[in-house]
Amino acid sequence: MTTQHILIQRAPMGVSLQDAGRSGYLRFGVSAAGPMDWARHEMANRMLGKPAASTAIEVGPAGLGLSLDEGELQISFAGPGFVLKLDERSLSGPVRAVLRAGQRLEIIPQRGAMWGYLGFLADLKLPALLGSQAENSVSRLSVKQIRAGVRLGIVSKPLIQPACQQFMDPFIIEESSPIGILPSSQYDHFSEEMKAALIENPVSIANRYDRMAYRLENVRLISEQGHDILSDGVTMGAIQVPGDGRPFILMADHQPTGGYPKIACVCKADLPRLAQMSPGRAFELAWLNLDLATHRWQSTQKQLESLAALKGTQ
Amino acid sequence: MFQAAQLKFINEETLLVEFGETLEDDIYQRVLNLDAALNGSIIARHLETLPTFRSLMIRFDASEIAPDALLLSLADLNSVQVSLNSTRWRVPICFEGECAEDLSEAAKLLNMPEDTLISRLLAHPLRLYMYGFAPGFAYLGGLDEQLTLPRRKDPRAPMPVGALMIAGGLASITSVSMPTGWYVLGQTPLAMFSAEREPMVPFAVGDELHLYRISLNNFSSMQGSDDLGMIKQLGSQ
Repeated sequence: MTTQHILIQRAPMGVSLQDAGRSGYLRFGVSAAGPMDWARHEMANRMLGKPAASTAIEVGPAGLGLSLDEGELQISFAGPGFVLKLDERSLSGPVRAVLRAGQRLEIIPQRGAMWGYLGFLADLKLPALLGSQAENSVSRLSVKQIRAGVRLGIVSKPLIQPACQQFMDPFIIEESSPIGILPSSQYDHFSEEMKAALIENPVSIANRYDRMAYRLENVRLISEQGHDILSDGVTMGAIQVPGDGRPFILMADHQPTGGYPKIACVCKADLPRLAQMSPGRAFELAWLNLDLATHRWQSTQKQLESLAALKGTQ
Repeated sequence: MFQAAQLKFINEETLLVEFGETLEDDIYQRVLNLDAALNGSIIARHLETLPTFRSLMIRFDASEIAPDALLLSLADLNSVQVSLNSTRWRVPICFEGECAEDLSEAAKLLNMPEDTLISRLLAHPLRLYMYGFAPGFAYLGGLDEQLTLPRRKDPRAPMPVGALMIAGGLASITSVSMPTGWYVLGQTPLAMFSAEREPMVPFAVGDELHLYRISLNNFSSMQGSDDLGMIKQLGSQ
């Protein structure tokens, strides 16, 4: 097989390679990384018939431009709010398409776009680092940073038919329902008033955000037992409350441990919608129990596994 | 093994076993015991554990093991006897020049001569309680109580990689450079993390570190090396 190359033409900050993330190294201080929106990442891979955890390119709020040096490559894209320009054609995700040598693919964010995933039906000619090709923007662990001028060696596979196909995004229908949260490690450090205050009014994501954390606006919380705790393990989606009372949500590149009390954790099924929440947009939080959260997560996974059933019109 | 422990599912695939809220040797020992028992059990391949000062975080593959099944497995581990091996190491630290940026400030705040501070620091081994914060960033316990300093209100300039720091009754050895509220007393030439090195971190959680003093010249010649030959094993217990 000949090696082709994806040529990165335009890669502003916020573009990275992501698979499902590292596991097994938390105890050495190495966090998992992985996609901000696990569902759209999985969708990008499933549209190509690849394993859900395969490496895809995570596109940030500033978009991405690339081309191919020879031959053709089947690609996919999932992520709300982006438009794909493939020469003169305009596409929006979730979609499967074909990129040919000489064509230019531009992934252009529309207003409020956050994270999108570009899948490719090819083997990426890169090694894994600690079992993963995911880049962590905080610890800088990566096998390849995606910057303008980078050439990604690939060996592409035969096209799936139909070569170009539009899919449906299962998350669009529940767009305005509240984001579900579960009690987290220091839930008991907070009074009933504080637990109620967290869900009382609509909140939003602050303007400054990154792959590590989202700050919540329009809510202030006080922990009855202070805001400096002896560090313990943390999870993606955990809502930590520092001394200034402004909670923040730990996202994909969070550190393995944290020293602020954690009142809640965003449930798995709603993490994709939270990750895609653009700054300033109001949304509500709602307490869930573990059974319901697990049930919703499993049904989201089932929806993604049967992606074929979601095929819309071409 | 986890009598009186609190079991909390902190999301759909993570169980936190909390043995206490404070830094105490017997609490920490129980964390290490459960960690060893779990990692020696047949369900180990479906999970990842993260030991910290007072709790064990267990991330499990929810498609392989249900929350209730995990709790049952934990109950079974109650009767398991584990033998814990912690290794003792000699670890070089330089307390001179730029390696020891906050040594005089810390000595003044603690109201003791610099040499006394260093002797107290070296008099007892420190225990590597956990890694966290960044790859290879080590938190150490067992610090002489006379060396307890509160964290700075305003962070100081970024500490060097390999800094030995103290604050809040703990010590740490850093693997990254960033602003900190801790006091930099010395620096090790040892690389605390290298993804390509085997092992990627020099010490296991629970190991005992016996710090020893090296000169600035020695520090300079050893620094930046991935070589683990500079730390010496004193044996296990």
